[in-house]
Amino acid sequence: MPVRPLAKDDIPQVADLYWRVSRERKGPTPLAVHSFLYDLYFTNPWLDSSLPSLVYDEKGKIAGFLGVVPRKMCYRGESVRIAFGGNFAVHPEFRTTLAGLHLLRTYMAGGQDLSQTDSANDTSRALLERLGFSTILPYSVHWIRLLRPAHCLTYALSHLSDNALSSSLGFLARPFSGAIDKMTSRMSVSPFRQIEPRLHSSELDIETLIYCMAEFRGGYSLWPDYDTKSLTWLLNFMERMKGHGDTLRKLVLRDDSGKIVGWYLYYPNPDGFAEVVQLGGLRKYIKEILDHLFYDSMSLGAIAVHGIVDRKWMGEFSEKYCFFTCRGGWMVAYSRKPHFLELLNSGDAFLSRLDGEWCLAFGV
Amino acid sequence: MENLTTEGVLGKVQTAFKSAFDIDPLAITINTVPADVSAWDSMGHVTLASSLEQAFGLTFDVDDLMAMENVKEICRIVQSKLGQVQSA
Repeated sequence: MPVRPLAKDDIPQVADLYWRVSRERKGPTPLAVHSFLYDLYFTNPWLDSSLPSLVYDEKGKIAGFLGVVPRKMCYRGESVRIAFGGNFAVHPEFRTTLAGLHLLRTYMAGGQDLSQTDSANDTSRALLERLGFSTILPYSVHWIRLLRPAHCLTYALSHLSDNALSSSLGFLARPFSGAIDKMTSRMSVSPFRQIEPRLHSSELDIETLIYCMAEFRGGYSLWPDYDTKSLTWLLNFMERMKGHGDTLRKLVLRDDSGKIVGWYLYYPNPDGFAEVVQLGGLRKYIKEILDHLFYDSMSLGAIAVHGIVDRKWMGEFSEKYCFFTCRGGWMVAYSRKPHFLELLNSGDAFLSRLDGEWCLAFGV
Repeated sequence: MENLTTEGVLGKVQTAFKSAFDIDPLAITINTVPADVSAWDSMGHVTLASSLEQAFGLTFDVDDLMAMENVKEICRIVQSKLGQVQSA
């Protein structure tokens, strides 16, 4: 079978495939794409030769690619191997070779305990489910909190529609939306009024983040297992690749006594949707942590905030005027060990967007 | 469960192809391979599998799916599964 592990020499062809098929771009593939793929698949701290990325090699031509990034996790203290699949692409000329199916089947047959992706679209989800993957609903629920509702409307008109008229309307409405948002943020009963937060923030460093994840993972059976080296690599990669925004903001939050009560990492994305990578803390402070995040992202120019909700906090998120949707990427998983799927389906894992392949994207 | 001949199986397979890909069923022969049907890619393959399941009242597992690499193999797998159903 023409499926084999990705080799360093394949990078130029895989980069072209990624650029033209996954990103639907024309013209020469930027060298930055080569660096992105090389760094992601050959320098990540979880490299494991038994869980390689895969290519479908049709007589020397790379017809398909499935990137695999192993992640180290702990299941009740025991080490677990999770292989996250991503950047899946098949060259249009070779689609009838069923390269996609062969790549996925080889990936599923690997030695990992769990095969997983955290940002499947509807098409890939349908394909994966037919091959035996399950949709993990507890980790597929997204939350959105509008900060500037009128700006969100013009943003939707400008970005979400191909219609030239609605795009023009969106553009023309911008000055008015600024005025409306200013008004709504000043009304005393408005949910869009941002009050200066009570918690104190400072830059979150690697050691503090590791401490926070260990301290606040609160009774989950499965959790990500980071050390300084792996977390440093991951955050550097996210900052360099700008997958979901230009700046990755990391804050730790303390109460008046200086005690750590929470933290969050996010891409603020001025004039767009802030993307939350991870948010956590003491349950009794969750609403205040959200207030802090909303205030911070609004002051940095975001028009809304978006993330994945931990379902145990849905009540608090709802009280803070967040609404929920499954549109935005599915988590799907496959395992030959059913208890792992049961565990994920019961929401018994401390997982965030930091711990899968969503955060390993490349921004252009 | 009806006792289908190879021709009978092929006829139903042709109908499943029409349902999955909206193509002329007579364009499908025992020698058809994915390269002959432009929509028969990985996604098309799982759509076809669902149409076949509906047409024959069978369920295919992942190994069946992977083995169905052309029409000849599809007919063989379908006949084998129909035989299993009848002998059960």
